[in-house]
Formats: sequence, C-alpha cells, structure tokens
Amino acid sequence: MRGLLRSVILLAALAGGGYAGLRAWPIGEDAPRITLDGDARRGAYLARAAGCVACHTDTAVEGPALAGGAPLDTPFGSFAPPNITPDFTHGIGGWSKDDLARALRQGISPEGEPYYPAFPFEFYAGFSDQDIADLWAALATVPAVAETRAESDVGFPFSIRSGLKPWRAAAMRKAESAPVLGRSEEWNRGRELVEGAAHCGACHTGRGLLGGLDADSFGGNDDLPGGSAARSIRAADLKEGGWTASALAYALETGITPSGDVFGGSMTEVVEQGTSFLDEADRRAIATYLLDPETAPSSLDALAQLR
Amino acid sequence: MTGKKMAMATLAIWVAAGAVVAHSGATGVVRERMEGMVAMRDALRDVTPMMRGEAPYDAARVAEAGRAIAAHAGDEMTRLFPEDSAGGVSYAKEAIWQERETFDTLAEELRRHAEGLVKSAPNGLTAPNPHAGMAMGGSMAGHEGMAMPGDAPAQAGPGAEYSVAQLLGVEPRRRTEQTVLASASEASGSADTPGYETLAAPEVFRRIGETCAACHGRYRAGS
Repeated sequence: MRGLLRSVILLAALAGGGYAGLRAWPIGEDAPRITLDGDARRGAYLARAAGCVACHTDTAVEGPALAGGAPLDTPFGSFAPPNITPDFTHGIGGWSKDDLARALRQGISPEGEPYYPAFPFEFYAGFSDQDIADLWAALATVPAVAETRAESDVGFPFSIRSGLKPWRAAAMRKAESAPVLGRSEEWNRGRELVEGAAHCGACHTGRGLLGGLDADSFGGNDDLPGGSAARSIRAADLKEGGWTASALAYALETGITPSGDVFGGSMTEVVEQGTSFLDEADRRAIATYLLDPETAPSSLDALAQLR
Repeated sequence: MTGKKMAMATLAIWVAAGAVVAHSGATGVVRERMEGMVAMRDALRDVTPMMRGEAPYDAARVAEAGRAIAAHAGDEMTRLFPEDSAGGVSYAKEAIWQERETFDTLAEELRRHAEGLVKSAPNGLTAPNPHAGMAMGGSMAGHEGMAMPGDAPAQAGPGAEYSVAQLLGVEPRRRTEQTVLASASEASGSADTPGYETLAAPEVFRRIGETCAACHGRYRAGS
C-alpha cells in the first residue's frame, strides 16, 4: 500500500514537473519593432488572399466582418476563429503591430501562448514587415464588434496549450515562400501566394499523425475537417486532369473546372471569399507556379514524413 | 420450393440486385439526379473554353447549354431530392433536408440564371450596354462608380476593382446587384428578370458557376 502511494506521488510529481517544464519552455524569437506605416488597401487585399476574411467571418450566417468565423471541427476538437476586429475586449483592439507580427509569423499570442495550427500561421512566416504594417492598417478600418461569437472546444490533453511546444519543435514547418533567383516574376509571385498567404498546402498537403504538414507538398488530403477532401494539386496530376494555366485561373475565379464540374467542399469558400477577389494576374501566377513540375519538392525529408 | 432452393433463389436475387447497383452506382431518384448533374456538368464543360475566350464563340451552343441546365434545375432538380433519399452512393448531404428552403432557392436560382444564359447568349463575350456592369456585375468595368462615400476610391494596385471595405468583407461585394436580384426574385422569379439581356454571356455563366458552388459547398460531400 505504501509502495502504491509512493508510485502515485512520484507520477504526480513527474506530471507536475513535466507541466511546469512545458509552461517554462520558451518559444518564439525576438523581432525588431515594426515602425513602418501601412497601406490599408494592400493590407485588405492581403487579408483576402490569406483567408483572414474567409475564416474569421461567419459568412454562412452573414456574420459581421472579421468578428469570428464558423468553428472548424477537427479530430482534436472544435476551433472557433476569434474576433479580430479592433474591439478591446472581444477583438484585438489591445494589440500592438508587433503583437500582430508575432501572432502571424510565429503563431504566438500576445500573452506568449502558442496558437493551435488550425490557425495556419506556418504559412505566414514569410510575411514582411510591410505586409504586417499593411494588414494592421487594414484591420484598423474594420468596425469593432463587441461580441465573442463562439468559443473553441478542445478536448484533453489537447486543451493544454503548452503541449503545443513540443509539437512546434517536432512538427512545425514554416513556409518557404521567398523568391527564387532565376525564376520569373510571375512564378515567384505564384510561389509567394501558393506557399505563403493563400496557404494552399493547409488542405492540399497531407498531414502526419501529429497534424504536421508532410514535407512532400500538394499530394492531396482526403481527411479534412468537416468531411471535405482536397485533391492533389501537383503539376503532373493537374495536367492529367486537363488543367491548363488558363483553366486553373478561371476555376479560381468562378469555381468552374475544365470537366464542367464546379468546386464544392472547402474550395467553395476559398473561391467565393478568397481567390475570386484576387487580380487576374495573381490567379495566373498561382496557376503558373502550380503547373511547373519543378515546384514539387525534389528531395524528401524522411524525418519530416514521420510528423 | 424447398427451403434450400428458396434460400438459393433469394441469394440469386440479392446478387443480381447487387450487380445492378454496383454497375450503375445508383438507382431510382439517386441515379436520376446524378444523371441530371452529369448533363449539367457536360453542358458547362462544352462552353467553358468559349467563356475563357479560348474557343470560337458560338451563340447557339451557349444557348443550348443554358437550356440543358435549365431543364435539370428548379423544380426538376428539387423533385429528385425527396425526404428519404440520402445515404448510399449519393453525395447528397443530410443538410439538404435540414435546410430545404435554401436548397430549393438555389435550385430555382440556377434555373433562372440558366434561362438568363439563353437570353444573354446572343450578346457574346461583351455586354452590349456599357452600364450593365452597374446593374449586376461584380468585377466588370464601371464597378468603381459603386463606391460609397468614405470608401477608398478604386485605383490601380492590388484589388483595384474593390473598395477596402469590400475586400475586408465589411461591405458586400455587389451591393447594387443584390438589390436587383432580390427585387427580381420577389417580382416573378422568371427569366424575364431585367438585366440578363444586357449582360455578356460569361457574366451570366459565372453566376451559374457561383450558384452551383454555393450548393456544392453546402450540400455535396467530398470536394
């Protein structure tokens, strides 16, 4: 009996120590303050391209802009995209420009807590200081909404945010969206959008057991939240499906595919609330980048495949 | 018939029935509506290259596509989704029956747009009336005139077709158009709706795509 008690105490101490360790585990990097002035138009366009508007607005019920989106149901729980209007209590009115930068580029809240990867911050890692300043200027123009429309409901043990710290160390994969020397301006713009802001890989790239993105991008994912499925958007598969750059750009504008079918699932929202707002040149750039066979990763990160 | 023979006969019937289902993938209304969807898909496929400006425009074929879609939309579509027809090989989500009114409205909207395509087909790729964009277009020329006081004026640069408020979702994308469509559907719900005759065919075609997407996003399983 005394042995059992000792074991329980030992386990509790280990668990407590582990938790304290997780809490104390430092994350994130210090970044210089952003002093640039932003351009609200450019920021608003980026907010469309990056899915901020689509995700943080409950468009299905015509909810107020950016005041909180429809919850995303995942195997780890239900994640409610929060209110990002300038309201001080329910939104991000109390944030600084640098808080926004840290949230977007590093996935860390102003309180230092890690965000769940349901928020695709990994794709925003390459946002420039100017991008952040522009977004900041745009968000400041949004009417403040004093309500929290939905709360996330994440089951134990995933509800312990500190548990995301080891996940960040093991499975987080920051976007590589920087321009590549020697490629065309259009291709690099496509890369910036596909790999970064538009975060195509969030759905079209498979995920490992821990929810980390596969290193081998764009192979499709049949197991998306809400029962939706995303097809492979690798160049070879797209070409086999009859896609051309023009057809892809047109589908991103209208939802109408070369087979005559019209997008459904999550892609409906992506087009309706995102890519249909983009300039034609940007839709073309996305298509150019995706249809380039060299866009696919040439060597696989075997370790990353285990994530 | 002995018990054994009866069991064999029953088994044979089940195998045969199974083969029919396996071959066609669907039976009854489910099959009928799938065939309707395929017919509409093929109609869209046939004219999509024209709408992208990559195939010679053929007004007769565009009108034919509009008629083909209209024939499978509206009541013709909704009658194929009776209460007890979910499940099995169907891609239809339960939400159709939970939000019946929305589904029926979308089916009717599709019929209206498809009949509108027939009306706009002779116009070709450009609208005959330069003010048509003011009436219904979201991204057509003339859109800038819709900006409200206080909006950032439309200009060159990213998203120039939209105001900052529209880009952020604070204001609807097609303020004027929504009014037109709402009053039109209240008035008659028919293709007599003012506007279609003044629009370029690709604009109406885009509307058809948007209606299909709205329905697929809500009510079709998968992608």
